[in-house]
This record gives sequence, structure tokens and C-alpha cells, in this order.
Amino acid sequence: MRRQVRVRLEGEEVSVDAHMRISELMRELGYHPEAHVPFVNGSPAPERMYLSNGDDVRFVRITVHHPGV
Amino acid sequence: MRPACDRCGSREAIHTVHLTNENLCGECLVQDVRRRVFSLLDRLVEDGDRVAVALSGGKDSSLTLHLLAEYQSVERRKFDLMAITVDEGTAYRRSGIEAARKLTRRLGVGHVVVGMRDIHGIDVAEVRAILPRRWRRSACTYCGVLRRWAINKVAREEGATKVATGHNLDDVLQTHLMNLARGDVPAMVRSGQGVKSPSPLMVPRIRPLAGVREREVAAAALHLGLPAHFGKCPLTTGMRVGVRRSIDELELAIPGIKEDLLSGLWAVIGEVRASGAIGVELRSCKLCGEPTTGEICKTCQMKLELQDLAHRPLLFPRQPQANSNY
Repeated sequence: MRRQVRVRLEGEEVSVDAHMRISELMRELGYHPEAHVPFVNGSPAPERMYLSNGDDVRFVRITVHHPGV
Repeated sequence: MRPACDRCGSREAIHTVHLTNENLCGECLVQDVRRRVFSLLDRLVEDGDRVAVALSGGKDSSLTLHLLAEYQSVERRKFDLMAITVDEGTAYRRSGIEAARKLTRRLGVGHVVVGMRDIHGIDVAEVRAILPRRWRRSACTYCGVLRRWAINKVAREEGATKVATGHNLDDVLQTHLMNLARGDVPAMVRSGQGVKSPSPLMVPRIRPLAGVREREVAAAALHLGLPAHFGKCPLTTGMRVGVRRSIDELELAIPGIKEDLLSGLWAVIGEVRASGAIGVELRSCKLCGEPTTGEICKTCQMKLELQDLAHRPLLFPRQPQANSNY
């Protein structure tokens, strides 16, 4: 069995594969990497990062939309 | 555990560059963004300019102002800097205005806040309320046109020689593709970088973040602790949302397509402009005197429609030079 880590994902306690990168988690949950910034423990995190036990993970939508240039 | 930055090797990474898969710390990311923006500003800003930043208080315009203030301090060009904020009258905008005030105070930059209701006699909240549901136009369309008109007028009255907007690479690409889809080649030609204004009443616009992706802007703004809010305008609808999603999907399939598409479009726009096939001839709007390609400018056309819907007169402030054609 693959090792799991317990993290808080958008405020909910979940178990994820310890070998899962944030980018894979985003893909699985449907967060588009071009439109969201991952936050781990309150600060922006690189998508190639692996999660550790107790990490608090959130995805912040960055698109605001400007009408016209 | 956070990986170390692939460039400096010492600080913790906060951002992954999709194109290269590099992990960058905030400092190295900002340095990279700064290098691209400064090299663009070398082409766009001239000595003696007075640059007015159209500041919404969001991450894009806040970073634009921050980098322009830095650019001013390194004295590669000698220019004045100020900021203009249009209060569209939505609840969403309130937090942005507060953020804008905080940033301009911190940077010591002059700041003018103008209310859309004060200048046009109507705000976006009311536009949204009175627009018939069956109309294809959304409040966004009106908001953009009325806001650009206000920014140009205030910038000109404040003596600005350039208006800097916070449009990033994603925004610019979306707009060009939307214009292409509509077959509006003149609009594409007009919206190029560093284009000389065809009218003294039209303050030329520059887009210092045009070479920076939105997610890089967001990460850089967060790292710099800019008082930028990340909210999405709740009124946003329309073509732009679909175009944005489609380009993002394409980017996942073909990494780097955003930069390739934009440079390709700029090459085409450059060719069209150089050929002189599409000139931009402006005259004065019969109602407000502002520059327009037709008899009545888009802003006044929209305000006439809104006046009918609102059952009351709106404001049509007129330029003193309104009779002159150029």
C-alpha cells in the first residue's frame, strides 16, 4: 500500500498519496493551474512540491477579468 | 516540505514556471518579472513623460504601479508618476479602492479617485439592474467602455502623457483573439504597444505587464506584499470568460502557446500597421467632444441607450475643443 499523508484541503481533513505533487492534486480536483495559485500553510507554493502531514492547502482563483485592453 | 529555488538554491520556492518546470523563490521570480517589465518600459516610457496608472487596486494594476515606481527610482528615465482609480459603484470595487489608497500612500504617488456616477450620471450597479435580460450585452461591456472614457479624460486633465494599465499577457492575448473573432482588425491595430495617439485628446496607453503571465503577476504581487485583492468581479460574464478558458486549455496541451500566439499576433499587427492598410482617423464626438471614429462615440451611444432604460437624463460632459476635427 502506498504511503498516505493527512492534510487539510480547503478546510477539510483528507488523506492524499505522499508521492503526489500539488500539480497532480490540482489536476485531480479540477483546479486549472493557469487560473489558480496553490497556498500551503498560508503562503504561495510551487506546484512541484510534495505535501507533508499537517499541511493546510488552499487554491486561490487569480483571474479577475478586465473588460478590454 | 518546500523545495529550494532552482536559481539561487538558497531560498524556499513559491512558484513553478510552467514553461521550464523551474521552482522559483519570490525574490528570483520578482527579479525575472522586473527584468522583462523594465526592458519593455525602456521602449515605452520617455524622459519628461507623466505616466498615469489606471489603478483598480487589484494585483495587476498594483504590480504595474509598484514596478513603475521602482523603474522611476532607478532613473533609467526621468518621468512623473500618478494613479487614477474609477469607482464603478459596485460593492466589489470598494475593497479595491481601499487597497489602491493604501498602495499610493505607501509609494508616495499622487492618486485621483473619480466616481463613475459623478462623471457619467450612472454607475455599474445601476447598469446591471436596468439591462434587459434578453440583451446580449452584459454590464461588463458598459463598465469597460465607461471606465476607459473616464480614465482618458481624467488622465488628460491631469496632464498625463501616457496611461499605464495592468493588462497582463493573458488579458492582452484574450483581447486580441476576441477582436480577431469579431473580425475587428482596426481594434487590433489600435491596441498595439507604443502606438502614437492619433489625437491630442487620446492619451496613449501602455501595458508594462504585457509580457508577464497572470499567474506570475499573482505570485509576484503576493511576494511583494502588495495590498492587492484577489476577488473576481461578480458581474463578469461574456465572451472573455470562454476565450480565457479555451486558451488555458490550449496551454495545458501545448506549453508556451500563449507567448507564441501573442508574438505571432503582434507580428501580424505590425505588418498590417506598416502596410498602412488600416489607418485610424479620429474626429470629435458630437455629444461629448471626445475622440471617436464615428459621429457619436461608443460611450455616448451606450449612455443614450442607458438613458432610455433608466428613464432619466445622464451626464454628457463636453470638451471645450469639441468642434475641432483632427
